[in-house]
Amino acid sequence: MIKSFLVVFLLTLFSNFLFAQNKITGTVLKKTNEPIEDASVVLIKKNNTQISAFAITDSKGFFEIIYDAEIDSITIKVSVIGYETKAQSVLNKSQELKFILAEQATELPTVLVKEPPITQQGDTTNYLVKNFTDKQDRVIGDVIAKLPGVEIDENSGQIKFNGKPISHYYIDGLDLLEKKYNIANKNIPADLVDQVQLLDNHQDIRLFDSLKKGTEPALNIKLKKKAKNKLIGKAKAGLGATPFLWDNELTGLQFNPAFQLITSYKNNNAGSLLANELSDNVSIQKVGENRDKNIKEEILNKLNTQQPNISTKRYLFNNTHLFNFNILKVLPNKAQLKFNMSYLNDNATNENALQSTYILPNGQNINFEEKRNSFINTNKVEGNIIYNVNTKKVFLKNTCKVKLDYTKESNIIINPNTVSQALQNPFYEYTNDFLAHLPVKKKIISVSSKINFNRMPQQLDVVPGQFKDVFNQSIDYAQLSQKAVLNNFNTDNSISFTSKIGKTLQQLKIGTEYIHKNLQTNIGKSYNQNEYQLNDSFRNNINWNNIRLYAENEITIGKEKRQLSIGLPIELNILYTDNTIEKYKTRSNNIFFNPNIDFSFPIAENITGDIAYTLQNSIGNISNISSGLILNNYRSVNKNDSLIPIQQLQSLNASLYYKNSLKGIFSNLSISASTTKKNIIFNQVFDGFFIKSVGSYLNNYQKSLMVSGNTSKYFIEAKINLALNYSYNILQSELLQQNQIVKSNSKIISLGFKSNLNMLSYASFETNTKYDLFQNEIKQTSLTSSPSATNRLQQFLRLYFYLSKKSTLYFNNELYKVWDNKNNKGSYFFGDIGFKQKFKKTELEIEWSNFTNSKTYVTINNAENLKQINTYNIRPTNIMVKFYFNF
Amino acid sequence: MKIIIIAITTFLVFNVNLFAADTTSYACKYKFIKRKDSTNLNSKLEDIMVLTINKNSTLYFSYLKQYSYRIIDAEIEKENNRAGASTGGMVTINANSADFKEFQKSAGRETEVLKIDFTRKMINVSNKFVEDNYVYVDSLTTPKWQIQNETIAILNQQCQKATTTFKGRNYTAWFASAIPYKYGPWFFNGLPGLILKVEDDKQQFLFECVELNSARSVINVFKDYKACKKISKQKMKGMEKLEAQDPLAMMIQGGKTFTSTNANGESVPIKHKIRPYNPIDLTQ
Repeated sequence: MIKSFLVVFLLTLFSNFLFAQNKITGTVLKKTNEPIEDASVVLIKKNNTQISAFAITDSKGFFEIIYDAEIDSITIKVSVIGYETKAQSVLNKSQELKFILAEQATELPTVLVKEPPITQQGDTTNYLVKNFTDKQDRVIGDVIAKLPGVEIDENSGQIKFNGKPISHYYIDGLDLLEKKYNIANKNIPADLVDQVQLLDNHQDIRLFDSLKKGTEPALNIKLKKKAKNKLIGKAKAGLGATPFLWDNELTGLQFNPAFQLITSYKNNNAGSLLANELSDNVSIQKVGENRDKNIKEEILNKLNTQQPNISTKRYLFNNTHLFNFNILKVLPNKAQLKFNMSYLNDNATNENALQSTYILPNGQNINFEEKRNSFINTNKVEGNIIYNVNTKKVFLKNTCKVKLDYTKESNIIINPNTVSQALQNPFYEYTNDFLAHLPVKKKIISVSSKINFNRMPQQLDVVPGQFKDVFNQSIDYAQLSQKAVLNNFNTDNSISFTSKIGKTLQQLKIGTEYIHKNLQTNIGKSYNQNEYQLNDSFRNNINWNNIRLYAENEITIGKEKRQLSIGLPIELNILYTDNTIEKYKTRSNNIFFNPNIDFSFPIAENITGDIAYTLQNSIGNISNISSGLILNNYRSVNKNDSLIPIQQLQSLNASLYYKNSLKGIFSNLSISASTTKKNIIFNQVFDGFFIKSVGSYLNNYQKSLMVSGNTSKYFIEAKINLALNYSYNILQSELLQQNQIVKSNSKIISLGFKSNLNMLSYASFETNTKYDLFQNEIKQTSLTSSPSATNRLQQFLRLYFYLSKKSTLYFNNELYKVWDNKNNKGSYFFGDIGFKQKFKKTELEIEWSNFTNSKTYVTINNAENLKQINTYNIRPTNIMVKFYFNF
Repeated sequence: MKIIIIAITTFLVFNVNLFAADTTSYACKYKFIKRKDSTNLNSKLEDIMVLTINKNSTLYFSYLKQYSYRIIDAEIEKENNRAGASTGGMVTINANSADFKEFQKSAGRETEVLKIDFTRKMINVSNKFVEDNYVYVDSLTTPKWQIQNETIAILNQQCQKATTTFKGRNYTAWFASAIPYKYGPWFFNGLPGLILKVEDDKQQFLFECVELNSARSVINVFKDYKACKKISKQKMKGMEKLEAQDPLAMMIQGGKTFTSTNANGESVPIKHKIRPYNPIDLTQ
């Protein structure tokens, strides 16, 4: 021991002497004198940054550095996680040092590999929401609208992915809202969402997962962890002037793995259209597919005011309350139970002036002008209960829906006489849909049963009475009342067998549909304080019984991304109609063969193509055979013969889709041509204000050609999104006017360009430019009227300046131009200025809308033989203050 | 050239994380490249490794491999929670699904997991062969480092060079003294700063840090091997060698049976193809 010590001692002595080798030892201690282990002790030469020698302290806090350079002064630096860093400059000689370190948080760098904003995995395109969210985005719909390749329709809220409408909208894999997915888009805060996924060729029925690809995309939003398993509340309170304006919202959200809830109450009179939050967004059904026959088909009031193409907040004078409640529960047996209900109450007033021109075949024009004051009161309740089992073994779904709509509408029209119209326009509907798919041996048996009942008792009162020549022997009278009650019952039941033989999937389906409709109309008048019912030529009582017996063989051949499907449906369509007033019955049997073929195939990497052909025969509706006069609105009367319209539609569609998610390029182009053959042509007869249409048998054709598509490119590094859309549409149809056949040719060209620029940290820009051209030409053998053309241009520019991390200043500029070839033109500008300030849990927004105080807005519309110029009143300049809360 | 630099720098997000003295928890991801065949520089296999740092211990595993285990687990759980009848424990991953792509990426990635306890100076090496899990425990060795004068920047951190000869190979390492941890990837440790890059002089192995982050976000992919059988280091090395050279033999040893038939339906002996073996640790 002594010996070795001596050796070390001598060695140290010698080495010190010979090589100037110094031994620096020491301890690193806490303030409490406890040792600090694992501290880095480094030796740095004077005027240097590099480490020349080092040691790491042991469990006693001890270190030892042996250093052998000829230098006067050195620095010893001690650093350890969780403590302050200390450096001490000392002379370069053997010595013992002591460091006492105070506790202190250590700043460690974070350098993350940035995930690419768009990734592609198989059929799924993932968008990282944080990369597409700007400070002004509040709800997830705001972000989805900006995703490259995705579009949202401004009115209906329909989402399209690379040109195709989505079929399902999932929230963490659960379909809470079905077609009313706008509710999610408008209520789920963007900052709760981690990813938006778009799934191509989505097959929603799991039993068919490996058998058949879906044709439409679906959307799934993946929520962040912080959004789950708790009740999230948010509220908005807004007040403004002038006039007195308000805009309030209260929303509750909860997302658990087996339970989802979205509920909200909203109320405003500031022009925000809440009704479209409830719109049913279904994917565009292929021609030939069974369409929803249960939509409201209004008999009366065709005097709907056309909505201008500007934001509703500019022209809608409303007072809307919307309540909705949506809940989904996953039951212990994995079935899903959903309950959705909504209540909409709205009182809206509208003021506009309409100038209409009907172009007659002899080149003569009929002009008239109207000023309208409308008041619409809407009360709508909708509710449904859905029970759904969707596993690899079985699919069961029952949907039960109730809709109660009580809408009242009244107009005061100055034309230049004053006429008032009051319409009661209720609609009551009950629907039950049952669908089951069950595997039996090697087949899948599907059973479908649908029942629908709806009732529409309409009444239109017109004061004073119109068409005195027709209704009151040319004497003025007080009031005309039109009643129309349409009852509709239908049930569709089918069974189908699906089996897979090799690569071929065969689906055989047989079914029957029964449709019963009854239409009763009558007109009453009051004259000299007396009420009169008009005679039978002003009445209808028609029964419509339609039985469809159908069989369908659908073959799907799929291999990887190639899929060919051929549908060969054949139906026997039996129709009995009974006009009890005219004592006239008809019976017709038709056999319809409605084949369709669809082939989708990959062309190259990232490019797929799709070709589809359909032939579709269909039979008209009960309103086509009303032989008694019906007053549709104060200035039009409709009369039909008891002719049953049959139409045959043929369409051919070819589409190309290009998708390169990594480069952020999405593009599609589709060409479709269609011909519709109709057996009845409607003759429109004009007699002053009297617009009468009478049908007669004559084969006539309507042809259309449409080329459309859109392309978007996202520059990932620069955060710039550019989107271009284009469409070209030609429509040819034949009209019978004043007993003459005329041809109407229309052409519509639309171009749109959108850009989002987010490369700057202090500002972002959005632009949207749209140009439309509508051209119309009426042709007949004798003379050709000069074509009319309307051009429309709109330019939006939104500028956001981020004054600090929490405050934003924004400018909203909208410019509209409209001009036609008859020297009508208009130019309109609307502008808003706003400021937003974020606080910890709240946000304040002040907006000055329409600061130039624009008062009117004009649209020009051309359709076949009708041209309309509409002037709308615009909401005057106003300031609103809004508070947003989260709790 | 300038464009490329801008592209790289904008690809990274820089910010600062504050850690309190006691809840120290940090993680980094390394790109790990190895040559499966020492004579062929093109035989490279890339992996993403994670080093998570807890108080006085580290954990080192393949992110890609562990992520794939998590996918399978999630699939099993989904299947179990799924509405309707069970599929008897069979899990199918749709070949077109995103998960499947991730799963494919995990093929051939590192299955070895290292846990180093710096207090007890012990290292715990566990691995999975076929379906069985094994572990051996060894004492921790620290390479003898020579500090060099060169510095480079990795992930915006100034790193200084150090060289060593360790487990039979010559390595150059780069450490960041601003991150005063003595840890590093694989068995590397003992420098006065976190080791962000290591490469050997024969270009066979490369570890390069690509992410510095809090441990929370990466540790949730980690799935510890359960019920590890304790074996000797030599036996583990033997199994590693067998798996690399002759995976079929490894599977047979693990209890799997394989048959091979010729065109006539007669069974023929299975041909074993011997693959190159290039272990990072040359000491046996």
